[in-house]
Amino acid sequence: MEEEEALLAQARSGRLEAFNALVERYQGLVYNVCLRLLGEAAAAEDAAQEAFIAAYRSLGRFRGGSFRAWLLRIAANRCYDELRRWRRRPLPLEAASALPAPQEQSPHDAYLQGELAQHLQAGLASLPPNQRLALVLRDVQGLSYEEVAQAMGCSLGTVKSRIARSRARLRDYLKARGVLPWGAAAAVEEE
Amino acid sequence: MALGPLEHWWLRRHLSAYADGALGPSQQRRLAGHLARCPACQQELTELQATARALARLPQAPLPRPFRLSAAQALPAAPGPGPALRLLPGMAVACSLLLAALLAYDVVRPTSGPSAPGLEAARPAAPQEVPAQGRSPAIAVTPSPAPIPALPFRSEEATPPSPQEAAPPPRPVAGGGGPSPLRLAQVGAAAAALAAAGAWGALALRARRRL
Repeated sequence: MEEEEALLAQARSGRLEAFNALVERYQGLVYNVCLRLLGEAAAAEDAAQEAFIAAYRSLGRFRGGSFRAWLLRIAANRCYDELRRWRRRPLPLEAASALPAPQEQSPHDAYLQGELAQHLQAGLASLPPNQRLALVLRDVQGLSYEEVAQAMGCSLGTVKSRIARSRARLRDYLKARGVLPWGAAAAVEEE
Repeated sequence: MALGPLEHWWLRRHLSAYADGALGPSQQRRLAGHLARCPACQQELTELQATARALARLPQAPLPRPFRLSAAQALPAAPGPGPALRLLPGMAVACSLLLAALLAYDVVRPTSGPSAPGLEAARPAAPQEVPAQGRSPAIAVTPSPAPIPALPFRSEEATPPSPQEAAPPPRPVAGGGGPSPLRLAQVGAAAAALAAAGAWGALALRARRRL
């Protein structure tokens, strides 16, 4: 954290290299959140790049707290803009199919994971953007409720409600497709 | 026991937060107690946990390219709506005040009118005199029953002289009853206030989304 503070201070004083060190630290997270929100690699790439540029130009407006959450909020706003442009266009499933299957698995497990990942991505795509973001930040990226609240710019109560609703809806989605009993059980077994 | 279904409904809404340990200690204990005697909630908790674990196991996508900023990308954004954003609210308020003043003047003006006796006499006659004057040749050629009784009624109060003399006074008043400068100023101020407020709202929204 201290190192991050130092990098932020240098970046604020105009040192691009310091900011790029922060970019390297968070680019995987930002890109993956954009990918899960948009479901399309090219759009996620653009959104992530624009988010970093906007963050650099708005560094003066960062008021402390979690830099990671602030960065994710900018990225999420970029994704919302993109989703608004797409309007009712259904989200592609490219994200799920483009993701590599985990290594060191039997073919059966790899098949299971590939199919489960596709169902999960489709289930995420069926959620409203706010609920999708909450679930991606909490369950896929492992952020705390407090950080999710910062990243979404809302209260802790709202975050709890969004996570509860989105998780229940995704559970229903998976159950309706017969994925949950065996697919999720396999996920639990591997824990 | 009467509180059973209500308690079940209320606690069920908090199962996700319970699974994440995001409830307060008292709520956590209360839900744990409920779970011990509610198989339906136990089942739901298991499913929610399984869903969360499945999501956590989704692999991270590899980066398509590094997102480091180049010197060109790091240049400050082109000066956008900054100064406009500062000026537009003031313009909107100023135009609104001007509009309010013009409207107030419009409301007050008729009440101050009676102090000028000449104006009072001319004003009510104006709207009716215009068509009468415009049709005066036609009246002369084909006398119709409608306008003829009207003319003597008005001319009793205002102008006893002949129609040729009565026609000129309404002219300027009738011309002022159309798009008067006051009306034009009101419309202009309203349009300017709306335009300034609308532009400010749009720019502010755009700037907010950009962050």
